[in-house]
Amino acid sequence: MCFKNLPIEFDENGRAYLKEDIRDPYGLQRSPDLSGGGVATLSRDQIEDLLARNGHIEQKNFDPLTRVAGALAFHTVVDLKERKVLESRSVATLFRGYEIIMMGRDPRDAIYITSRACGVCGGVHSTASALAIEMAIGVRPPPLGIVLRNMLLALEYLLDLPLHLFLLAGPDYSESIVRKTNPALWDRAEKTPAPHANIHGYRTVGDIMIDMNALTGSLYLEALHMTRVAKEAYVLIGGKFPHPQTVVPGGISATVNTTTLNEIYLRLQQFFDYSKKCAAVYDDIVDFFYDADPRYKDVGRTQANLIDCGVWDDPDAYDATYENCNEWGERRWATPGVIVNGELVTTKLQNINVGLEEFVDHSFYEEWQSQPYPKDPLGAPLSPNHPWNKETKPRPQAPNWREKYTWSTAPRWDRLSMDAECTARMWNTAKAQLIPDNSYIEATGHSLKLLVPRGKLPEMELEWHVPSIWNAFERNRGRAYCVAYTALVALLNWQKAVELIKDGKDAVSTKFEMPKRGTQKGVGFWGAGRGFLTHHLVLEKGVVTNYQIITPSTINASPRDPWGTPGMYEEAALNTPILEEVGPSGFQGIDILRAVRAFDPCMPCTTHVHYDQGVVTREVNTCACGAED
Amino acid sequence: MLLIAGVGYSHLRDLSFGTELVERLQLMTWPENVRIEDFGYGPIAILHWFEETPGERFARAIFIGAMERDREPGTLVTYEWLSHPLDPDDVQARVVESVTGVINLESLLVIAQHFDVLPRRTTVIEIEPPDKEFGLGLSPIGEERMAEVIAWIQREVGAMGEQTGNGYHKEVHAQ
Repeated sequence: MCFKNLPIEFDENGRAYLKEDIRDPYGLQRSPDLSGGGVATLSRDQIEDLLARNGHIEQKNFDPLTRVAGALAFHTVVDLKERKVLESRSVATLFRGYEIIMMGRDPRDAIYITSRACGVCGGVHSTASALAIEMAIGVRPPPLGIVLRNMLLALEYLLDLPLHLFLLAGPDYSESIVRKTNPALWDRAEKTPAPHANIHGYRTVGDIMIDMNALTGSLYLEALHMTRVAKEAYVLIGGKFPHPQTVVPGGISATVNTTTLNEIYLRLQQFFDYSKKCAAVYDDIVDFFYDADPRYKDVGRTQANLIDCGVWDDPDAYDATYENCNEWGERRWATPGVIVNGELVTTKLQNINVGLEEFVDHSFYEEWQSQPYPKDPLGAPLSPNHPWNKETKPRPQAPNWREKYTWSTAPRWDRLSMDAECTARMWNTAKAQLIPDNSYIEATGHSLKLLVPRGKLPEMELEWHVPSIWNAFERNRGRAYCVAYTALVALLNWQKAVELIKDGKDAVSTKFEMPKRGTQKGVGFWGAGRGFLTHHLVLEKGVVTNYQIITPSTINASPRDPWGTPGMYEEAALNTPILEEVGPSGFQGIDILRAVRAFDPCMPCTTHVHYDQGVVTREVNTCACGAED
Repeated sequence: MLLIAGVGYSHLRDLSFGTELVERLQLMTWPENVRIEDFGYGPIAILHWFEETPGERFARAIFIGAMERDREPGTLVTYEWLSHPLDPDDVQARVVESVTGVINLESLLVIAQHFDVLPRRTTVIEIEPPDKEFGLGLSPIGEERMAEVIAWIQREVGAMGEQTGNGYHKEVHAQ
């Protein structure tokens, strides 16, 4: 029984059905049970009253003044006396309309068009498209096609993770920032020995912070280099980056042989030592902040509600069907699942799909009335707000905090605000203990043990523990460990590819024909570098009649839902204490920026912290994916 | 060796001036010491390209692209990019944009200067784009400017001469 808020129950055979005694089962009258989570919010009237009566309460807008592109604005009201955030609003400022572009097209176009949703992780959109088409038209790739797809996307994540850890989020913890925003903390860092010096080579935490400095720090420059290493391996399968040319329904169109695999391995093995270093650096940084001031545990704190579709298919299990999605989903190298309040409530892809709804009460869209699909292909009930039933009806207007203020929708699962994170992959996998038997990754129920092979550093077992608190620091620590997890999955798939080629099973794709009549539905369950990704597709007479994308940033940048529950960025900011020492250079907003940036928002959006005394420039990034609906 | 590179996104009318130019130049015949490149991708990837292209520290580069600077639409300017002190915060802001997929001529120049991969002489040609809508091809003004730029490049290449031995040799005609 995984649903607490949607009126869905399961019979003795595990089949989902709608409770019969509920009138208007998907009505919005009942507020969802937030399982003890949620965060106190003030009404707009209360906020305006406080602003009028208190000089120390100020509006601070992270407003997109982007040189080239803009995607996210972040509005906050901060009480500088109490040092807390009273209000936060996440504003996706771009409408991209991929769902509308796709209407009436051949579904194969989606692989190339939706790839452009992101300038970093095009491959995951191509792949989610391919999976949706495979499900809709019934084509199963050969084992090597599946394995190569797994490798391609693992390599994309290996590019994305160092970017986040050291180029985008890393500078928030660097010497130049910490010295400016928290001078006392910097003094302490200089004197604090780094516990993992034997792995990363830094004597003190201060030394680590110096090398996290933007542009000049060795960790920064090394990450820049490692993105190149990952890209070099990626293009050996994908042809080009960031928009691969070889992802097709039914597998991959690249020719891959032993030489190609050797060239990939030469790059992949560089991530073995690098992943040990990433984990060691972030362990030392996170623990240093916690020791220095336990209130850092509240920076970016949210309830631990995480959702993920899992990634990396077992070539012997994946058959592309919705009917068997629970079975092949649970055989993935990253287990699908939903975490509510820290606990795993399902690992079934069907439950993940059935629990999905998208709301537009505070988004620049019109409601839609139709519900063409009241049930999924297995007979389980679907909400009128489910992506297969959704229509994208943009209605541009000026933002209004009481009404509509963003282009992002509010996706919910079981009517709960969710967090889309790559760490969810590890959390689900650790808890579920369903990962296929292998030599490198062990799920213990409360941790993931990662046996990373020898490089220049010796073979080493890293252990990522399910965190007891979920905040900005644990999001970053999770990503650091995810480098090792991803590299090991890539290695396992590399070994499988070698085996398949050795056995002569070198087919990489399956032929297919596009249906010219009837209606077909499919969903691509996958994940971007930063987490959850679905592409829902409906075909009629061979062309797309509905296409809906839910990206991690759509989930995380979500506005309030019909019941007033904030999205994850909003909740994270509301829980964040202001720990910055406001010096002569004024309020930097570093704690709020750490809270939001830890989600690994993606596409550029230079935002400026405005406040009464002037404008302070810092940056927040968000994925344009969040504004695509 | 002369590098001629067009910078920008595709399918955005005059905003795609740089990549459109590259497509046209690639259909023409050029001396062996001229390399035409499509730089319609992120500056960090281009940085990696400069780092890995074997032994090619180009003597000169010409970068072409559209830049919105509130000038009269269709304005065409050319200037030499002179290395100058860079604001580290600005460079980092541009790196962040670049690694997350933004293509921008000025960001490319700033980042390439910071990481010291720009050729000794770097020339920039910018157009203030008249038409910035989604679509193929250029506006009529964009077409006019395109012809001017191609003619200008041909003159520059002609003036450059052939590289033989250890330097550039221009043919000298007796008066």
